[in-house]
Amino acid sequence: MFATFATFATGSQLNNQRDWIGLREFARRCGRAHRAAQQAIADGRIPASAVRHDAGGRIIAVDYHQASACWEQNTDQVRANFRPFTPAPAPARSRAPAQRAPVQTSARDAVLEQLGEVLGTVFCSTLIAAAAMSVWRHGLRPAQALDVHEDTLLVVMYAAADALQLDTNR
Amino acid sequence: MLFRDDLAAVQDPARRDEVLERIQATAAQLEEDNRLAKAAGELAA
Repeated sequence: MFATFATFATGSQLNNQRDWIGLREFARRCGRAHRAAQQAIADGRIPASAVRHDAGGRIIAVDYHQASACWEQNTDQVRANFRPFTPAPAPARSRAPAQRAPVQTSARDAVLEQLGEVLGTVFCSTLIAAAAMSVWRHGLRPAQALDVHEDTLLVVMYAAADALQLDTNR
Repeated sequence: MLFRDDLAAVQDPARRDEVLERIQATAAQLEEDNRLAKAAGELAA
């Protein structure tokens, strides 16, 4: 699990063009069923480069822009029961930085720098607290609890980082 | 820098035991807090 995180963090191409989201959210935005999205990934209609897996092979994140474009391009509209592929618009927070109030670059960078540190702190604090809660209430071993919560929180963390347009490779 | 310090412990396999110990300690604290809260509730009743 830790190796997966390291790969995700250092080998990813997360930048302003990427929009990593969970599989269910991806299916929702595309107006499709969760199962249909799983099948499209399994069939290769959504390329592996647009999908992140954990060490167990579970899908933990999908790049909305690349995956939705490829899915649309590779979908047989007849097999899709003539339902047009109409990806839902991305939330305003991640789609329209130009609509934000103008902020001086240096001040904005300083704010984002601090937000990044806060985000990292929140992630770790939440991860350990959530894992501890599972140990206490559900009797999981600490290692089990850590694995259970890490994937979910990673997706949340990267979604937040993307929404804030933070550079996660720094 | 982004995620630098706080993620280091989680990201570094060599420090996994440290993270697991923190989880265990936090769980023990939760247990103790819950026990004290129950005791206080019983006294109040």
